[in-house]
Amino acid sequence: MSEWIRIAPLGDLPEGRGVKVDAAGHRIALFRLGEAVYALADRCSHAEASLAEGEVFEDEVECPRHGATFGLEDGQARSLPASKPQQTYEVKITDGDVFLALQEAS
Amino acid sequence: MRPLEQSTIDRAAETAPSWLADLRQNGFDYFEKLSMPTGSEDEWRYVNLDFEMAEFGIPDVAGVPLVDESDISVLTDYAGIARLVDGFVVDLFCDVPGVILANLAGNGQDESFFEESLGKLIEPDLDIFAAAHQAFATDGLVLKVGAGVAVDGPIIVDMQVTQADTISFPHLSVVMEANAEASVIVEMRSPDGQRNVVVPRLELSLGDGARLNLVTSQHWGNATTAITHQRMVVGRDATGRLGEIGLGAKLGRLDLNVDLNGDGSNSELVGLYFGEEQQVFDYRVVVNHHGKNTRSDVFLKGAVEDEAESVFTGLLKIWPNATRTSTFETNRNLVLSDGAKAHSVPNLEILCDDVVCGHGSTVGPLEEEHMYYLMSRGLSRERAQRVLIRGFFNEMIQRLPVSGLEDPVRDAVNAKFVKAQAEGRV
Repeated sequence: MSEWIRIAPLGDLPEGRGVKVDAAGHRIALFRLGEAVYALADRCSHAEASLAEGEVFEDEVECPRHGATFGLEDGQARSLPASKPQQTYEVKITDGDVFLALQEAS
Repeated sequence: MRPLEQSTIDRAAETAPSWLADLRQNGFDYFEKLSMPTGSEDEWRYVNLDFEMAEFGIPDVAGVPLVDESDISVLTDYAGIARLVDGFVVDLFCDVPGVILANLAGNGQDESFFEESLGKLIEPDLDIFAAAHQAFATDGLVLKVGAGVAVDGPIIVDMQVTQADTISFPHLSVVMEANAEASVIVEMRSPDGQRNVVVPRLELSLGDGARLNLVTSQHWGNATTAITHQRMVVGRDATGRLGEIGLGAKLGRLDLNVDLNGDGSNSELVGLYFGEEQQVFDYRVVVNHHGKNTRSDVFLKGAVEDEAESVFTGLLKIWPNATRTSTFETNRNLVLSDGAKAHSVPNLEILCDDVVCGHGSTVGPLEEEHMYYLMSRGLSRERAQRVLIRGFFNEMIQRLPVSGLEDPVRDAVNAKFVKAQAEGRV
């Protein structure tokens, strides 16, 4: 069973761009697209860079440092220079609050 | 609204102490004598002032403050805040012992406090805008940090223009007594599409051993003309570090003059600007080295797209006897569209031996070689451009002397470029 950690009210997350959170030692980038929230490990699988500082294009985030892109939903690397997927975390929204499961979802 | 006329000066004099009435009258006398720059003057050669001052009036009262999202909304851990709306201080809070944050119209301090702090560093004959500021400024905000006091967290000054067809004169004086330490963030904003003129003035005075970090985050609306005068006088072994973020305004001009008067004094200016459409940024930066063993560094980076234009005119002046001076100025510009222009004029004037000086400037598009390298690694042209733009500005964002604004500034710069890409403008 994964442990759910309350992060923030959904309304506090900005639309269409990343937010960096530190949850029990995990550096996680949260992205809100409408009513959905996606959580990826913040550190790019290619090199030391924060994905939360990257830009969101439709359903993917572009790493601010070298331009690699990752799917927000599955964390798959969609373009070079990254070749490994990004860790994703399970997210649930209950009563307007965003919760994160720290066990990796994939 | 009040006109820019003698009647306004007379009316203000009815309730003002004599030193203030005299100061205003003196400003008005120069205002009458000086004329609007035509563009033929060297100092104004890149600027087209397409208005007459008489088209604008001075607001009678502050308008309704802007409460929408701005950079400073991300700052929660501040030591004090003041809101200046249309030239009037409407809100003021700071309870740090040894720090005074007060405004002229608020009567919180005795007269001599303001007489000593206001209007000391800029002469009214500088230009017609400086004269107008001295004549017509409706209020004045003073931040005074007592000797040896170190303030944790920034003091925020939220400068706003909210009313169309107005000309306003927001004023901030910062007085740092000996060995005082403080950080200040000045946010400047007005709504898009609202035609107005604003003439802010920032007078920064650093006593011996004082340390001041001050960042100006300029987000004026796209129909605002902003003519800012900023002066910093630095005492012995004191350090003034300035940051400048230029993103808004129709015309944004900064006339900045630093006087390193004390031996061992230091100054730094780190700046970034990003212009689009028909925006014009005009930066005039003068650093005077008077004291011995002084150091200064000026580093500005900017980008222009569409038909935007940027100007950097820098002068590092080493006066006689300013031995052991070390000084450097750098200006790097990216020109992202064919119709955009960047002018870069760094100057050195050295009247003394035994100094180390340098300057450098570049103007050009994104380097094709860098683009080629990134694209050879699998990036599309658009993505490669974005990576280079981010890297270009990130260096400056990380060096801003007050922390806390990194995320909103990075977002603003990136969003500007991404939007231009999406619309096919770059």
